[in-house]
Amino acid sequence: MQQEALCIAFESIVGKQNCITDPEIIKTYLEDWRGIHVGFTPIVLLPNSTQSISQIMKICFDNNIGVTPQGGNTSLCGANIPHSTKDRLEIVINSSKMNQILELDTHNQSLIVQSGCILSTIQTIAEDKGLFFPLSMGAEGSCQIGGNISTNAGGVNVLKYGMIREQIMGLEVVLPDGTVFSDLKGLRKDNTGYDLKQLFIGAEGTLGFITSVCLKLFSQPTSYSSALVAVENPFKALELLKKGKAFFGENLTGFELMSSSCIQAVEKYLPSCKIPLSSLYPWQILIEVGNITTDQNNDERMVVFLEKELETAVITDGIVANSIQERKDFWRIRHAIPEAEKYTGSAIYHDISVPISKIPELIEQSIAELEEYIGKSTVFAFGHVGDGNLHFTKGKPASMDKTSFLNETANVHRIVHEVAVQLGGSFSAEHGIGTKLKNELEHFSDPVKLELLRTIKNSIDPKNIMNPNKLIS
Amino acid sequence: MEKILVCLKRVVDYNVKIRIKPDETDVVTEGVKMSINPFDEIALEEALRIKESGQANEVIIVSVGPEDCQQQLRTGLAMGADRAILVEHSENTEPLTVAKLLHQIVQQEQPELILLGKQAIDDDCNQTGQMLAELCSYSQATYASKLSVGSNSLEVTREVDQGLETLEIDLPAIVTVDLRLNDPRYVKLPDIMKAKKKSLDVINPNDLKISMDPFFKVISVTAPPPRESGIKLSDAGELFDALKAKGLVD
Repeated sequence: MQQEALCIAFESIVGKQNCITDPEIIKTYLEDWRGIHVGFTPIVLLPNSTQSISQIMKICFDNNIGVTPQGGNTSLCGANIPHSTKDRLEIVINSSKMNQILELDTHNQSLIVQSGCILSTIQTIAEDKGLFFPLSMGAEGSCQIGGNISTNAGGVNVLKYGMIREQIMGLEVVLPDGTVFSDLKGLRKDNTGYDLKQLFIGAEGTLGFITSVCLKLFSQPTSYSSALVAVENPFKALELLKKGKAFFGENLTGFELMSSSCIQAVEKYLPSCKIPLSSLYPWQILIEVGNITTDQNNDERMVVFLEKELETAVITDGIVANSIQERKDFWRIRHAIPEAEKYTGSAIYHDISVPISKIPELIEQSIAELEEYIGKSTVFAFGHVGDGNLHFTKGKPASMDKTSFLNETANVHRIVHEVAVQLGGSFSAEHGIGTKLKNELEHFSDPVKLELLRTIKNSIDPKNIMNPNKLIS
Repeated sequence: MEKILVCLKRVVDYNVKIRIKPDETDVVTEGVKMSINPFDEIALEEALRIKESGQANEVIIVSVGPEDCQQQLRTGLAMGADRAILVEHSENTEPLTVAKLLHQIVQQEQPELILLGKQAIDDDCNQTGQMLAELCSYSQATYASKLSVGSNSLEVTREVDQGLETLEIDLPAIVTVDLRLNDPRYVKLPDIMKAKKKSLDVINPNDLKISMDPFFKVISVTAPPPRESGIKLSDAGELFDALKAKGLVD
């Protein structure tokens, strides 16, 4: 089929206004959030139903057209960016108009939504019914649940609630040939063969297009007790985490470490953020407890816990949020770090994980090895240390020019990933593989694993229609 | 000056989504996050800044309310107030009663300056400061967005509908403060620990010989009607017709 005929076919499915071919408008669908991954496609489709997506997929299957599924475009590894070429047409199916709330069951504590619903909308819908959807992250105002599922998103509540995989009861997926796999039952127990939905979670759109999801909801914490504390070094952070777990048990929901460089960047580039603790402290931690009782002494318990840690010099200073606004102020800093980082100039980003006990070594070794390889520069280290996950960003050394620094990206990645893997960790904790880390996946993975990944991909998507050349090829 | 008195009210945190009790007698406060009325917190911050600039010797905070108000007073002490007084009363209180109780405290403490929020965010009465000024026969200024202390007077900038109005008033005075006066400080952990040693006196309203009987009877508390969703119009002509149909334009 010629492109023109294709467009007519697509328009008959989604309507003219939802079949975008104007290159100026398409531009906004071609670039990722950090502006690192840029691609090309002549066609972007905005369907609003499973049926439409099924029809589109059927056309693509019959005509051997690649499909890049795209949500809120907040991905960090390039899995959302199309790469259409002369040899093979690749279109984008964007889920923005798949934004219907389908069913909320307060007894079953489950919520069925279309995959283009924005994460913060889902949080609010649950909250309005006194329930709680725990997935939360900086991008929650624009990222979509379909993308969250496709990357098995983590975020700030993993410590208690796990990654999104643990919050999914069912999925509906359009397969590469247009067939619909529907399993939206809100069941907590369902042992009826292979748990197929798991295949599509974290698959980065390489196996099918997620169209709807049945999410697991939780009881809403009655309130939060939050504190911002200063520690001398990551070892002290680990000590505080251990003691916090012992003191608060599973109610400890947040434990976010931030280096002084992160706080200073927020202070400098996002002046509307309030900085409660001096940015000169080498490390700060946002610690949070989700209270399940209505006891007014919850904040007092946080004070009691931290007082002891102050007396024994585990922490050097601290602030306990006195109002919900102050809690918001604390989180605003944490969520502003990725944006502030962008303003500091060229940088090379990593999202790594290790067993929690290895976090201090991970930081120390990565900094030392990079300094030796490429020179001294600002390093931004922050993240969900309670989950053993660290976002580690190497800034450009002042002596280097931008191009020669960025040309070193692959080598810098390899050094940091090597450190993480040596310590028993992973080179991609929660952001995924996309195009960014495909080489690393090949390099670090067990051949048996790679073979299994390929077997699965080939059996579900034999024509390589779904998100070609992402994750694995 | 010797003393500044700051009045703090414990209210439902302003970020909490308010829910009405099923029997429509009040809003739900059980298990809800409570905080210092934000305007009162600004009043306290201002008092502390005046003291820190050497223009006052002591900042006293006072609250009228249930035993749990001690939490908010402890926060006030941790912010830097020198001592606290709680007039303990577990039922709802009304502005005139509170003003009368505060008047008794003022007579005991003789502060030269009294600061409080322009209103509490729970009942939005905007009365206590004015009533207290009358009872004490102090000068008063409301809605302060700027304050400078002179030797025996205050210069107060007020936020009024037409813009800003600057007054000079004599001490002793009562000033109710507005949102833009300052940005209150965060309370640091070491200060919370220090604040535990500061004095917090609890007084029974009976000892002040003020009747706590309410003047008002609450008939019902109901939620505002939900906002109707908007409609989309294609051009100015349609807008005009729609407004005309509602009788909003001729």
